[in-house]
Amino acid sequence: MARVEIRLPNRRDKMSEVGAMVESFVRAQGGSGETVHDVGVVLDEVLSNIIAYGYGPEQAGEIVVRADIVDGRIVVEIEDGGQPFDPLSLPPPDLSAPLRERKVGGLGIHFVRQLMDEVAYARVGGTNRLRLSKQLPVTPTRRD
Amino acid sequence: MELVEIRRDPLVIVEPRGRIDTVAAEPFGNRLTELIRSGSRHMLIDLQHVIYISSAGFRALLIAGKLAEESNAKLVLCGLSAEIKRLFEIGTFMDLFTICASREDGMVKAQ
Repeated sequence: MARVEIRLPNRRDKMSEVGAMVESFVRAQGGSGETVHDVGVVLDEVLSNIIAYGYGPEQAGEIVVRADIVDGRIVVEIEDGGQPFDPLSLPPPDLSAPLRERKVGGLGIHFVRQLMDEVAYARVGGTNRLRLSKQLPVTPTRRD
Repeated sequence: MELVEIRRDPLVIVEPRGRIDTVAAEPFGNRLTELIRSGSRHMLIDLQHVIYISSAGFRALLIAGKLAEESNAKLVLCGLSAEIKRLFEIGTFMDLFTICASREDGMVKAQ
């Protein structure tokens, strides 16, 4: 089964490592350069959000990242036990302001929505679950 | 991320390599503002060796861009891969910066 599960503490210094692991998983599953890139960006956005806002300053928590291939799509699920937060509830960023007035609040989740085909949030028990999916390019691959 | 700097007085070429993710965006942004504050007025950021830029990296670019504007400094970008260009488009950053297709063009525009 093509599946990977990674558990990480809510620490910024662990994010790059997890991103690189999921990127190699996507590449190994036949993801194009674009898909690998998009999953890398999106994971950075989601994990940094959880780590920055999900927990209190000294509060330790665990984040679970699962990546899976389902019906030719890469599906990434991110779960955390931080405070309830639906990133999809954020207003879209103002993308029309000139340089001196431009703010980047909301840009991360805007990237997530634009780069993925589907994004869904659910609060399950005491857990935030964000499910992201994107179609993999259709290429004949060898099955072992 | 690794940050390479090449000096061709008065031009400074900044070449980040790797991922400008949430963690890397901080030293990247700090270095750009430090360069402008210490008097650099002609800067080219060559992104050809960048794998991706997340929103934190764009925040760093915006802050540097604003500071450059206030300081009458030129800040030019080049070397955008197709994927990175797409993020610039999604974030509507294309019009906020001078973006050149090649490093040579960028070096001329940043002068």
